Amino acid sequence: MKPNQHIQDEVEKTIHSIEGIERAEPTPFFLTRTQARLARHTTSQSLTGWVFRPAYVLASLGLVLLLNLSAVAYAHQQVAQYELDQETVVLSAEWGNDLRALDW
Amino acid sequence: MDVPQLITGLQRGDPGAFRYLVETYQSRVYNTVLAIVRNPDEAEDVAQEVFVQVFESIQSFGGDGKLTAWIYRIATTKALEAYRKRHARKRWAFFTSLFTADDEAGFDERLHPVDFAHPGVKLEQQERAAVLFGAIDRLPENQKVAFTLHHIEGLSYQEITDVMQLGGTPLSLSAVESLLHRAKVNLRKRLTNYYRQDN
Repeated sequence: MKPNQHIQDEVEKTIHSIEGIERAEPTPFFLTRTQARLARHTTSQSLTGWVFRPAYVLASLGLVLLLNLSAVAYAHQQVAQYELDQETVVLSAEWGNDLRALDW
Repeated sequence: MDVPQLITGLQRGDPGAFRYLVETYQSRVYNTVLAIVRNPDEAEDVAQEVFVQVFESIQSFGGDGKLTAWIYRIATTKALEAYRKRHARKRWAFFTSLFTADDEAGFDERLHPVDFAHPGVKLEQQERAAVLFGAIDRLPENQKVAFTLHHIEGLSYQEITDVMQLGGTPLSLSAVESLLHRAKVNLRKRLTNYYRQDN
């Protein structure tokens, strides 16, 4: 038999080696283990899943935005007050008066 | 329990429906996954994930489509994901092993072990089947899935069109025929090289 023919015979026999193959079965109590896995999956989702509900996400974002705006407004106010104080000091120096004291 | 009752039961979260689902489909799912991942422990792990996903996604199942095809689709998708993940880990392990002195297995062997013995193959064919599974392992994914569904699960071409989709559209019958034909051509090519080297 020519070597090529022999090789082709081997190839065909190998291709047909899975003819009549039967289904592999999982190990016993597969159902029990799968039910346990589903239970674990469901529990972990309910414990942490609420964090990702739209209402909570929006509320969290709203809170962050509010905090940021408050911080900006506070900082702005602080800068404005500082500038006012500086201006008062400069004017006092120029005019020789303490403009912060009441002049009754 | 018929299919509509099963779907309704699953959508209601009925434990009895889930039990029925697993008992009815466990062999099909496990066998399909095993042929792709080629490791019994991993196949069982993935098969469990398939049923969990079926249960959790049943709300999005149209109900008018074919439940069995949908389950096979989830099974093949998850099996391929597991396969890719394992091979990414192996490639990384191989890369890091380049910097250590104690690696003995060759690159090819680590990525494509040939010692997978499918329990459903006749005993006298186990050795040949192991060689074949090694060749199937190297097929492109679509060809691998089509070949597995037809030759290992026994699905018809029509049934395979219901399982395999491209961008949400079922494959045509001719597309499935083409995939199976190309799979056979590739397998023959690879096996010819294998036996040529063997000689």
